[in-house]
Amino acid sequence: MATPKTRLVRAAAWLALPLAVAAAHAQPTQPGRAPVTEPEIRYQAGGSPLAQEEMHQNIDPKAPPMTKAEFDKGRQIYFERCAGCHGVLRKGATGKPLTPDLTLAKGSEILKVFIKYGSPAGMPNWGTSGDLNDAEVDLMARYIQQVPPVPPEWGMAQMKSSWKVIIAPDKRPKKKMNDYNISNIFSTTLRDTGEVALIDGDTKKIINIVRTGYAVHISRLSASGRYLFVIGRDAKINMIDLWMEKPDNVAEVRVGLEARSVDTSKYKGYEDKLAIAGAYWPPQYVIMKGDTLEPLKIMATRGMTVGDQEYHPEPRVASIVASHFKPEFVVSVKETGKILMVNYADLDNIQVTEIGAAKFLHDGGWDSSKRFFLVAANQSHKIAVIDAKEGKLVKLVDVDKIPHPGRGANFEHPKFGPVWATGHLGSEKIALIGTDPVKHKQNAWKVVQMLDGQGGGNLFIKTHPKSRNLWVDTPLNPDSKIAQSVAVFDIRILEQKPVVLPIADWAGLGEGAKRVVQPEYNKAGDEVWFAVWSAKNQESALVVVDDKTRKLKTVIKDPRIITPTGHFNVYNTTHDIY
Amino acid sequence: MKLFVGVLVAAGAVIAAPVQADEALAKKHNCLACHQLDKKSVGPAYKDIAKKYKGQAGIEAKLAEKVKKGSAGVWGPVPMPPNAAAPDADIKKLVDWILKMG
Repeated sequence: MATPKTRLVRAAAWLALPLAVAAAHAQPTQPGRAPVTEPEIRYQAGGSPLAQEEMHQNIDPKAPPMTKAEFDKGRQIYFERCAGCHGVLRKGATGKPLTPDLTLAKGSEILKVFIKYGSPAGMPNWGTSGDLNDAEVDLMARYIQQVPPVPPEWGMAQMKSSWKVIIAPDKRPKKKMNDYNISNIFSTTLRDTGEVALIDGDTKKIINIVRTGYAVHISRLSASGRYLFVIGRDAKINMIDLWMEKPDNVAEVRVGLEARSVDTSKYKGYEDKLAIAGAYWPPQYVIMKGDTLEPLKIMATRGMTVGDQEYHPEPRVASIVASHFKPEFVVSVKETGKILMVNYADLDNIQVTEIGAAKFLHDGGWDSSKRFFLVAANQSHKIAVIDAKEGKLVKLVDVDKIPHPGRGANFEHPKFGPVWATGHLGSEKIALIGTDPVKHKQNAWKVVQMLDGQGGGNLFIKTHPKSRNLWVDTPLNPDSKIAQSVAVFDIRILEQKPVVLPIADWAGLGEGAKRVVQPEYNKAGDEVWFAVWSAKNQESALVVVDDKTRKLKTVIKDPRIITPTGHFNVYNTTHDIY
Repeated sequence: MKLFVGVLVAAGAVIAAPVQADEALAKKHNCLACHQLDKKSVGPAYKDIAKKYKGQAGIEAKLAEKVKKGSAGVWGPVPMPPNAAAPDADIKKLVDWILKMG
């Protein structure tokens, strides 16, 4: 396994992968824990912003001694490479737990073997891949036997001190001051530069490059479509006013030290009133004013896990959507496996309905009726279906390995009626789940069909009510040919194999990793946009494909488009069209 | 890597009573972090070790030394770390137990 592993880590390295010191108590037979696949490891990636945080070193006399300088270096490496899989407090998630009770029992020599050579369970070979030298391997073996340092909390005082209203609401335009068709703007993450590019979907020209947090994870819109909210991995939210002559930031706040999710109130009467963001660290979510980002209410997610009901000290907020049926946010909490229906009608007497689903919740989206929310429990290989009207779990649906729906894709299946589709990080399968419990009751909440895509490493799947195409990307597949192309199915003839389009080749770029990420429709539903994501020092591009002919329409290149990843059409995002 | 002390993880059911004690011993000395009874993991499967060495003269002492001092290069690039703290009597028991699996 040296070969595939080496390849994996190399690929991983530029993505800044995390690492998984899976080792400490390698029990390959551990129940319920399948080996971690390459795409999953790549996905967890990403240096955590916590690497830069000072933390207190608690001395445990039983642990191998470390100087403060060594401890700080170990901490930095841990948060750059390991925390994504093993957790901030080393309680484990994708990777195994690395708490001192386990690591001290193994001792440095065994830990070093795992860190250097990896394991068949999915731990990358950090030493033999060249990412860590022997001295660093030794340092990390000792580091993970220390008491896990706890990053600082981030409460109201810290949020308020990071909060800036750049343009107060009464100083903002009273009407749209530009000629852009703002409902067809695309907000494109420029991952490594800490910016988003606002691109005019009609003219394909860049409207503005807006300074944001690092590696913006998602873009969301206010209910009216006027305000754009983006959140960086460093938990910084920027609020952009699309009515300005040149749309730009009007407010910002940092809601924690690391985060992934943001959304806005969508229920009737609450349009543009509130925003919500969920953090990875500290484990909490915060409700803010929708026009200024002023933090109003912070709620912790620490608590008991679903099923075994054990305390978890760092349940991360994985994703958030806004209900159309009630004044509620739907907050999915990863480690505890709970979905919180947070009623925002009365923040002083807040009501939260806690729905137990399955552990390691991740991302998800609405069905076509917007009544049912489908969310992946990705280490459990399930999709949880929530009824937002009743506030109940409807079903846990078994799918394939590590589902990663993004928001999923809704369409009318010629045989089974309305379905919602998800791809998988861990396999080539695409699961179609029936979503109509009334007219197609026998198909509801079942996998009615499994399609074969190109391979594992899928992140996003997309269609549009006006389209008959289902687009499936595979940016985290280890095979560069697969990572650089997309598969497209005809939803009227799903038995037919998908057509594979070499999107990265169409971009006409030179050398580079060039992963093709996230199909996204324009407002009219007749174009599909893809990011061709290359390294920071290499040229990237956006490729626009004609949905009907599946032929290249145009390539958007610009020296400012550096490391584009996610991109969100204003209209489709506002209205949850996917 | 060669041998190790180790022993199997899930073996309880497979082999009879005396095994239990040695499996516990293997667990105690962390052998199971890298080894399984019948499947290659980070280190070779105990069954494979037994197959390779069974019946060789004086092998018990050689393997015991590898367990104690560590070893490298026999089963692939991943080295077996030394187990200096494990008592010789425990190592002997474990080596005998592993060799019986062949």
